[in-house]
Amino acid sequence: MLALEGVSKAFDLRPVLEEIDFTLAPGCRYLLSAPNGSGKTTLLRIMAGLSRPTRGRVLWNGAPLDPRGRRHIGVVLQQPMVYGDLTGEENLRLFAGLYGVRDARQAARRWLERAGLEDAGRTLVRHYSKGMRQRLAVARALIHEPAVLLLDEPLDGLDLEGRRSVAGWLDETVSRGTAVFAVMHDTASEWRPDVRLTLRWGRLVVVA
Amino acid sequence: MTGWRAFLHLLWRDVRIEARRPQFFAASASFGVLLVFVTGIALDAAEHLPAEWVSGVLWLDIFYAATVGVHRHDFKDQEWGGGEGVLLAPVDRSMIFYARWVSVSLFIAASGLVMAAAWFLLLNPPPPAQPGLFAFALGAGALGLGGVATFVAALTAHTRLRDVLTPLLLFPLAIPLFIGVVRLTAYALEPTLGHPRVWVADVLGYIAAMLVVPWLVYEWVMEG
Repeated sequence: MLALEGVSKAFDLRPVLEEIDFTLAPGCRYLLSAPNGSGKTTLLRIMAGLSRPTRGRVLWNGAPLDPRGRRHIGVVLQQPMVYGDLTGEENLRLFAGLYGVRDARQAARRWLERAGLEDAGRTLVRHYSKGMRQRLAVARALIHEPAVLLLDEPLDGLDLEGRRSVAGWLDETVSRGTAVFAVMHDTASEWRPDVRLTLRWGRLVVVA
Repeated sequence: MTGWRAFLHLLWRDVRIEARRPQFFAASASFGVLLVFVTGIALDAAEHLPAEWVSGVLWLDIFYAATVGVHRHDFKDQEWGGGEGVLLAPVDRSMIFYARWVSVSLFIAASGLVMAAAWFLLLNPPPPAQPGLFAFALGAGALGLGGVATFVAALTAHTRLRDVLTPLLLFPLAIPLFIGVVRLTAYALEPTLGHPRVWVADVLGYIAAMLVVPWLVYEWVMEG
């Protein structure tokens, strides 16, 4: 499982994260909420392997996070992380292919349907609304059935129905044993975490 | 996921996107042809120039135009964060570099052909006495330039001044390649200049360096 060992991060000598030790448990929902600029997104990027910690390590099953470890992680950040000049289906097929999902075409169609985007599957993503892009982003993160899901404001830009639908996917994912670590500003009522966390002076603190 | 399959997926992505909206080709080819046109006017009756000079003009245009194209290409990665999505995938990140290298080289070669056609029309150089060597210079030049441009674009990806830094870093790093392809093109036009073996070795050595260096450092470069 994904673990942080003594992780610190500083930008231009300004410390943002300090000595974070944390291990995710399978099938657990984590909610991190903290003020703007407190380092939430930085922490997620480090956990995803997109950013290097200044000190400390990110581990997958006790070993430093490498491409094999990344196979088990799904990520939704503030951008949808897709290509605007590919269709929704082409984007999902691309990422399913990169994650080694068997029958990427079939998986892409299945997830388009689950995301309620089956009619927009052949439309270029640049023509999607914000809510459609967000649903596509969550589908992209889940298409390879990750063991850990890292989310930055996953319900942002969604209408009530979209929020309920995405919250439902997350619950279903958790029921299969996936650990979900979500950063949310607005502690949405659609999604109830098991553990609430915050960042105080760069340290990760369990609130409840 | 084998590296080759990832490579093919990523190459398909670049070709598909460029085929749908040919921004790299359109930006670099139109900018390059314009540069050839302006240079042609500035030098007035370029037929009087020696082979080294006209070759230098062609490659200077290709280098500048390629920089414009690479910027357009990177923009597509950043626009919706697709480039970061690919970095998260469980593939060796050097494969991401190699796929991008090949696609950028293909697009540079395509726009280079258009620029070379404009160069023949507007600057009126002699027809290549060694067409094979001329084709080799264009192909190897596109490959070397594609490699160094992709690598420099990755190096500057996390900086705010990337629009300025990319050409500033690219041109000094590309000097050995630039000299080599200019000489090879000149030899192709004017075989009496001598034997081009040393310049073939120079260009091939440069491409070999592009094969090895990013493989060693690309993963480190791409993590912010």
